[in-house]
Amino acid sequence: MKLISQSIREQFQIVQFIVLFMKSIRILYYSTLGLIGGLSSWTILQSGFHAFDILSASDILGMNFIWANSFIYEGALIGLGLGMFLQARVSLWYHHDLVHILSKMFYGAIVGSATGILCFGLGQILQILYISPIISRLTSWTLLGLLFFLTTEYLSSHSRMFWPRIISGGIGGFLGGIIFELLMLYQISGPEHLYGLILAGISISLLIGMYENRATSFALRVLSGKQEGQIFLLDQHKFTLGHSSRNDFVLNGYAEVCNLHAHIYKKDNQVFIENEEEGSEILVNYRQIDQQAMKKGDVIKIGTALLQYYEI
Amino acid sequence: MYFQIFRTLCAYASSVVLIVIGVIYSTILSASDDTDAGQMLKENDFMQLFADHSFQETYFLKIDDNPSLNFTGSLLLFIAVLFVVYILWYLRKPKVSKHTVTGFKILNLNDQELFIPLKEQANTLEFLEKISTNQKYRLSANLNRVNLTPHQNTYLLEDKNFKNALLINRRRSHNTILCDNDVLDIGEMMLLYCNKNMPEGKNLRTSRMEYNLPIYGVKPKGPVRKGTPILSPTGSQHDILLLRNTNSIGSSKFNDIVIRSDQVALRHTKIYKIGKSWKIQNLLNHETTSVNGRRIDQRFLNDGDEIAVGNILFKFRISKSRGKQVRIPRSENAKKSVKN
Repeated sequence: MKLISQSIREQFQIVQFIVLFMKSIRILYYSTLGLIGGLSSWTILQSGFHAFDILSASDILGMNFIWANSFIYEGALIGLGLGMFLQARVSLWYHHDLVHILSKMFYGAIVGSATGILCFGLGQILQILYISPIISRLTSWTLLGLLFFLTTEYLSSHSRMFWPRIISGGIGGFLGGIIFELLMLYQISGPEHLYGLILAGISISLLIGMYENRATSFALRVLSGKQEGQIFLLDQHKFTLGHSSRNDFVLNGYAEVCNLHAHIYKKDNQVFIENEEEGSEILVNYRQIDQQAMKKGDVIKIGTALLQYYEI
Repeated sequence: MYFQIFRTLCAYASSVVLIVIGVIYSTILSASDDTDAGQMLKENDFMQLFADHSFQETYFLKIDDNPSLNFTGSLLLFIAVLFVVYILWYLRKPKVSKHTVTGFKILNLNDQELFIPLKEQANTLEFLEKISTNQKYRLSANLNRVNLTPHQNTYLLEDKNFKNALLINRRRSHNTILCDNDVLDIGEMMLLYCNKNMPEGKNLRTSRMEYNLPIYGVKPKGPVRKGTPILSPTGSQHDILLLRNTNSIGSSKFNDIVIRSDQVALRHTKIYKIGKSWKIQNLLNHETTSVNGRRIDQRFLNDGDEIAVGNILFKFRISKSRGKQVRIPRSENAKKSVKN
């Protein structure tokens, strides 16, 4: 019996091309989303300035719109465009429901505009304090990258704060700011900084994707049913798995899967799977368990869904 | 939901507070710079001066007053961007394999797409050695003694080897009816049995029709205590309680649960308690008891298992209510209810 299980495990020693392929695809996917975020923020800036013109011309509220025409407006619009797509990136990657993705994008837009106001406002204050504009702009870009992912972590209630990811977001923002400044220096940043915004978006999302790839060392593959062939990459410390779309990994279209069915967490280089409630039933290698460390090649059965676990 | 909204509001509030602090700070600065001029100016002019001082004509990113796209153009571009995102989302839709034929799918990571259709007639598992795979797998010996015979919609797998390296659902078995999504381990090769003709999961369903089944046992007369196992026969709405530690099932009237049927032996099966769990045991070699569609000798029962004794189907469940248990002395009730 031991020999058999040994031989089952040996075959997973081979380099797993599919997961590596999946990871590189994910980086591409994320950076595409960053590009799209930059482009959308550009378009929002354009339409926003037109809207501002209309507002100031009509003078509806009888206010002086010099306030709106400044950093607050720009920061909010850029943050809105970028945050919308960066927040929804995970849901888009795992093909969640459209309604769920739209709600994520809405959250992202709100949070992104708030962080944009905050960061660009701070940059403006630094400029007022006679600090060189380049440094102040770089600071605000870095803060934007940091705060995007800080708020993402803050809003997702089930996973703990994951500082390396937030810091890598900050580094991405910093690099994006440098690229932006260089493009501005050589005057090739396109019409209204189109290329600069796009490249900044790409650099933020690329850094995040690179970090998440580095952190990923375990994966779950769905073997049966509607989501056959989908690969869940484990890149945090803690995950939730279940039917509801609020989970990190969603099993949709399977019978006997609870809304919140299981926890998966990393501890001492081992990955554990744990029951969420008494009613939820998890079978690892067709044996019912409450909590167990998983090994390579284990088959996990949750309701009617069949999952395979492997390490990379 | 409310928790998240609360958090967003918190984030909002904190950002607003920070902005207010920043603005106040800058006003203090400008006020200190222009103390002399500030007294001269009216309030409106002061606001203008403050704005001129702090925002110094250029915007933060130095974007022109006249953007290159007009309003409708930029909106159209934004919609196009959203459409691209929709396409990206659609591309990530999981592709479900459309194999309508019964067969094996290889689960090993290097041979993902390989599908082995099965033939209609009975054959041995030897054909697995002839399949060309990306990687060479060590298969268990004597595959020619493992038979695969068609059985209704699916296949019956019989292993004639005394010692084998064939695992079905990670367990050794010699005689199994294959169900959809069964995992087979044959040496190093892992196979997934796909059969779309069979209904998913448990193959037998309960009906709501009331037949007069010849089953006699202790029937509940009120709420059942938590943890008491209950057998609910298919085709009958009367549940049967298992009140003793060892409950025998058979057609003889000396059993705890009596089934009057030709296909049930006098003493057929018993269900007994081990620790906190319940176990079922088949008592005769030539009679069958099956759990969840599989013939078993003895097995631990889980909540929701389907037990077939002869031609009668039961659903085994464990009571979860917290009421008081009805007291019935031993199994006399069962004996009384059998009309002799």
